[in-house]
Amino acid sequence: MKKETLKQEAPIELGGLERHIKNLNHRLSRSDLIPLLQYTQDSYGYLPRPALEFISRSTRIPLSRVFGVATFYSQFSFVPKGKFTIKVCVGTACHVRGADKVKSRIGELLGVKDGETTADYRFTLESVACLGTCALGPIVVIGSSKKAEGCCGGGPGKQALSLGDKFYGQVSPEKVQEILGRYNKE
Amino acid sequence: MGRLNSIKDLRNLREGLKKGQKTGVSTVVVCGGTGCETFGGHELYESLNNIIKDRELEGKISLKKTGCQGFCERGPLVTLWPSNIFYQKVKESDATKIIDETVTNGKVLENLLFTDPLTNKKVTHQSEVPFYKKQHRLVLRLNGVIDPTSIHDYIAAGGYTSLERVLDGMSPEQVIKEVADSGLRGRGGAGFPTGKKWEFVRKATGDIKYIICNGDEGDPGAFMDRSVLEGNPHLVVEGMIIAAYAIGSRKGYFYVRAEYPMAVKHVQRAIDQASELGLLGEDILGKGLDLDLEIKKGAGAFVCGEETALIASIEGKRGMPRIRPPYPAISGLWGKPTCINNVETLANVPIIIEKGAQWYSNIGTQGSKGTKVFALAGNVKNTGLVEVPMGTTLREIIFDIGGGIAKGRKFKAAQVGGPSGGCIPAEYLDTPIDYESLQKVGAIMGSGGLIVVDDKTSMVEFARYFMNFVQDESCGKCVPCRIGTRRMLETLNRLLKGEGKESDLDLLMELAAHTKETSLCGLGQTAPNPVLSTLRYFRHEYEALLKKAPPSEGTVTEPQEKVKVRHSESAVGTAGTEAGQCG
Repeated sequence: MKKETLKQEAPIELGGLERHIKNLNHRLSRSDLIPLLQYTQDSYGYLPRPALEFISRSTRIPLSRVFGVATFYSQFSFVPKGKFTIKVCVGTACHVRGADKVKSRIGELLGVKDGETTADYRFTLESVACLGTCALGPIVVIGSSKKAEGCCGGGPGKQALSLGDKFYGQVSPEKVQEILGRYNKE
Repeated sequence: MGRLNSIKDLRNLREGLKKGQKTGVSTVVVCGGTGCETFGGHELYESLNNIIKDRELEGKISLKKTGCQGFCERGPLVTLWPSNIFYQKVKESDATKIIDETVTNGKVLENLLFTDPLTNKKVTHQSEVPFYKKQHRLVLRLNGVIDPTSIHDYIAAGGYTSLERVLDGMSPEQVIKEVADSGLRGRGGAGFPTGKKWEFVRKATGDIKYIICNGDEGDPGAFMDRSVLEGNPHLVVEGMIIAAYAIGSRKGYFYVRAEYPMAVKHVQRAIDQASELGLLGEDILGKGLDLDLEIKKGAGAFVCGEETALIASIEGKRGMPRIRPPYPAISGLWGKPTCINNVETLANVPIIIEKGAQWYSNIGTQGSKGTKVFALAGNVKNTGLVEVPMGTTLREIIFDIGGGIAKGRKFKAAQVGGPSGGCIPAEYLDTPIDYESLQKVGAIMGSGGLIVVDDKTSMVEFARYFMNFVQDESCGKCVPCRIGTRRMLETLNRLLKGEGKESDLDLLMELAAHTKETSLCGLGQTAPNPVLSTLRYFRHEYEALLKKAPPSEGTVTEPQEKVKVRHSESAVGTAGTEAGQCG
């Protein structure tokens, strides 16, 4: 589904991931893999190679398989994202109400294409199939690319949430500039 | 909260909660669905809360946030009890007036009332709004009434009485018979009889059996499962406990999309609260039933709505389907018998137990019983969640409840069933919606997405949109789906660029037929449906592209003067199982 490669990377701080695994308080099995990848994605905003190697060692799943699972799901990224991720819903309902024009306007203003990150690492632009808020299309959701820290994670074993995301409904290309402006100050 | 050790404990708790409900207190109900929150519902709630505190009215006015009430287009929504006054498009700045004028002095604020587009009259009460009036709400009955984060609210409203009844003397076989007799069929799309599925799992041999709730609502344009999980998670939990009892399972999973953070949060809270009360865990209500529930978050793959792919995903693998048989009922999660039911299916179970199979089977049509929740969206005036009895016509949903086409344009087609479904033209607007009738006209029930498009929409471009989606989401395991969808997409792109050949339409038909017949799972088997149904009903739009240059504006073409329909001997209408969801 996605063309990705895993590059060599400098070592990173893995303490959080290590603590998370310890807090799970059970012998890791194969079914822990996806939740661990989700935790990593939310913590770092992407899947750094050293973290994947650590997961591979902890779960005893070969790195090649970890990589294979990660490439399958669209939630995971192998390159760092910007501070904020902008998700433009291109689901059917948003599509028939002109989501494409909203997306191109955002791309035009930021100078990036779908899936790319601005040079200053402030914004990453993504399209997403459906956010289930179809009644209000076109929908744009903007939130921090890193989710696990502090925002709403819950205790050990609980699901890390991303309720900090802000939904914008019935967005038109004209409204885009004003919405993005709110994030330029932060 | 103390643990409930018997059915009597639960009854006592419910009685106590009912007695404890303050009478004579005005309640301000704010909709907390994702839709209303997007329009500032949470800020409105905070502001109402502050005003009530400032005025020291806490004892007289209670404030409540409920799940999605369905009328998302008009959000944020506020309902006042007991007067039942219904305000829509409420702004944060309206909070003071609502408390000081309406709640305290009983004065209705005209500017916040809904205007009936047909009569142009203001409507004061929720039950008079046409959007709600024509609905028959069973699954959504408590959405907009209870606080989804409070198990006490659910219990006081009669929640967990069905579980009580089941554990108070019904055998698993009796439960299965009741569900089978009700005629309930899977709401995920394929429409398999739920009672029969439970019976298969019950009879399957295995030391452990699993129950899975499929909340991987991947169809773009569908959001009823999200709203049920967000607005009334305990209803689904209760349905799952009953299902687990019936099939003999001790371990269950909620598979919920990661794109639905509020649904994940509310389900997690529901599980925690139910466990604390002893409605989950070991020896439930002292009746020897054990059940442990856990959430698994999806990671963004449409194909994971297919049951075998969903199982692979829970097992920590790439979410790719496998050949059936063996069906999950025989060999599912970790090779054990597994029952997978859709969110809405499970939400119907407590209702059937409470009201009885006989009562339930009186709703709907011969082959399709009960109600169905549709996510009405697109170019229609009133978008939102609509629950109607099976057999209701498309016209009633789109024009009576939906209020007709937005911006004064003309109806062109209704797309039912998402990327696995088809486009239904104006001449079939009077088709009653049930599993069989929809298949006959080339669509499928799917999970219930209903997108209305107006006469500005190019149907070829619309078909291309869906083909692009399934092509992207095809997992690549089987050749017909991987290559077939790509070749169809290329052909559609060529047509839209004005580079199409006469033979391209035949090529599309041939590719569609092969992909349909030979793909491994529901995703590939239904992927050609949007192309086939548009070729069947809007062939002239394809032919027009052969003759002239493409429309310049991307998704938009000029309105067709007259919709001319040609029937072709297409394979539409023989849809197999649906990809988005099974069960």
